[in-house]
Amino acid sequence: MKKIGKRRCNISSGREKVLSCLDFGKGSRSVKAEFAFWYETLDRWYGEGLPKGKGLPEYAVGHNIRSNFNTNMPGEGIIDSDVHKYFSFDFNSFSIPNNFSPMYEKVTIEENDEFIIFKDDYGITQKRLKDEQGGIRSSMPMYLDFPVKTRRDFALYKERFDPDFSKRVKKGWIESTDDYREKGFLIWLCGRSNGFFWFLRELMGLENFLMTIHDDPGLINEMLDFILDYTISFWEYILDNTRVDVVLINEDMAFKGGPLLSPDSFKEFLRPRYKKLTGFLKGHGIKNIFIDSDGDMTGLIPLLMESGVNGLLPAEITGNMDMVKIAKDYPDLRIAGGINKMKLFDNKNEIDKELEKVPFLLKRGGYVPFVDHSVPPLISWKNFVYYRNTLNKMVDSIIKS
Amino acid sequence: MKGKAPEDILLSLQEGLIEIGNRFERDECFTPELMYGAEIVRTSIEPLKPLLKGVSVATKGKVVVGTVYGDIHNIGKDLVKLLLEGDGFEVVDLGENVDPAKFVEAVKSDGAKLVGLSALLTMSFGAISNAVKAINDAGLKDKVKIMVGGAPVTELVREKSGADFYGKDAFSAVKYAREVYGY
Repeated sequence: MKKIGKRRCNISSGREKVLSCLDFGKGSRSVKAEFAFWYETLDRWYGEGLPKGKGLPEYAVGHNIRSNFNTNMPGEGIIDSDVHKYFSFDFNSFSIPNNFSPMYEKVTIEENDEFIIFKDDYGITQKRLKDEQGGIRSSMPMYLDFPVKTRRDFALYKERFDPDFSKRVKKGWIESTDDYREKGFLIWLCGRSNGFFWFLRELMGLENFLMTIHDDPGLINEMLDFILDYTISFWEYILDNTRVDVVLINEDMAFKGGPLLSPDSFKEFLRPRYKKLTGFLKGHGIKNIFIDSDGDMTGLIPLLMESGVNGLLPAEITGNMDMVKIAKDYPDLRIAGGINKMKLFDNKNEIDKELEKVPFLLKRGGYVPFVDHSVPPLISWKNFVYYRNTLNKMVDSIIKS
Repeated sequence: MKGKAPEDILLSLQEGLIEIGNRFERDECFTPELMYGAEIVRTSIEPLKPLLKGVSVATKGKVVVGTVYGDIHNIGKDLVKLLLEGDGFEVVDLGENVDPAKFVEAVKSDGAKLVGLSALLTMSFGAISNAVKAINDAGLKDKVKIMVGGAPVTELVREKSGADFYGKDAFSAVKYAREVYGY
């Protein structure tokens, strides 16, 4: 290892610690990290005692504030530093831009004091509510229309994807990866719509996509083949030029009642593409291939694992998602998240009960505990401090053991 | 179904939808199949409607649905609506970001015995409670049942808001509607 100064050495150890944890290493069994916070959450906490260091920029209103693990497109995301510092989180992340947009021009369709309707660069028409100050409220938008309804729409849509990948990655970004790695940042490859399910949902809208599985499976296959080939070509362009620690594939393919598509549909449509994609990634030396999906993924975990995915992030506690059972059933599965945010609203007893599973999971390894998605503003600073301090003690204890 | 009375065709379609719902509950079919089945039933009912005028099975009853104030998400609510309509209920859809007063107004004017409140955001829990309170404050507590559902909604949210029923998925909303209307 290159001889570097004390500060660099400390930060660098953060990346090594998280990689060791994800590798089920004995050296570092876990790390301290969170996923993300809603803007309103941090705004509330500053008023309840979170020391304001860097604070948040004015344009943070309406944004999801990233923490250690939620790293999307650089330049779009705002990263917290004050909670990070307060709880001595272990590492920072750097993600390589991963732009799968068809690059439509953004157009505002309607705007008033209450909401804005616009077509985004993905060709999706969406509505977002404003807050009392006129800023866009953080939270998911309402989707009104999607770019692909017919086979002909898709033929036109895919023409927007050309093989000039340089315009999909900010200039100098790939080159700066080595520098960030040396500074101890975890290097990610992730971004919007890089999952097969997610891509089709953004093309057609969820309802239309799910109906097309039965109405026109040939079109589904055609679209999936297109995104698979384009993803491999695009990522080859990136991975030929730098090394990546973790790939995060965004899917959101479940709700609290279970998967949004059947295991049979997964086997027919997604499994062959996943195998090809994960085989390609492993060929580039990538050991950590995570899937980001809200909802109860229990039924799809074995299929994902046999397809080459080996991690859940953030693992959401909903429906029948039992982290201890999942950890036992799939001992090689990396798990990040797994703390039910709904249990942090209430009292210390509820928080303690929610954290009872953590020591087992930490001991089993490959586990980074944090709130199972963005921390909502219903959680008080007092409760979060209690939860996080308790959790930090558990992480410290497993590291020392 | 050649030669069958329209009401018999309607009942067969509804039985089919319930069977899909039962399979959905047993994890034998999933959301695409549930949606597809509901869409088949909904579109099959359209040409039957003129033939069903004056027939008692034409509608099982009215249900008011809407996404609560401050929340503009519609997928869950629309799926509930699709299934309810498929099962023969008349649905008054108030849309999204619905002010509590609009729920009250709709229940009063449409005479519905059931109202469904939908939410996607954890930040909407207060809005659910506000809508329930508005309905109760308007003196409708004994006249209408309130069901709640949506991604972050749980039995605890139902309990704290004072609603009558928590639907863990869209099909459970249909089952509850049947119960409320005595089917």
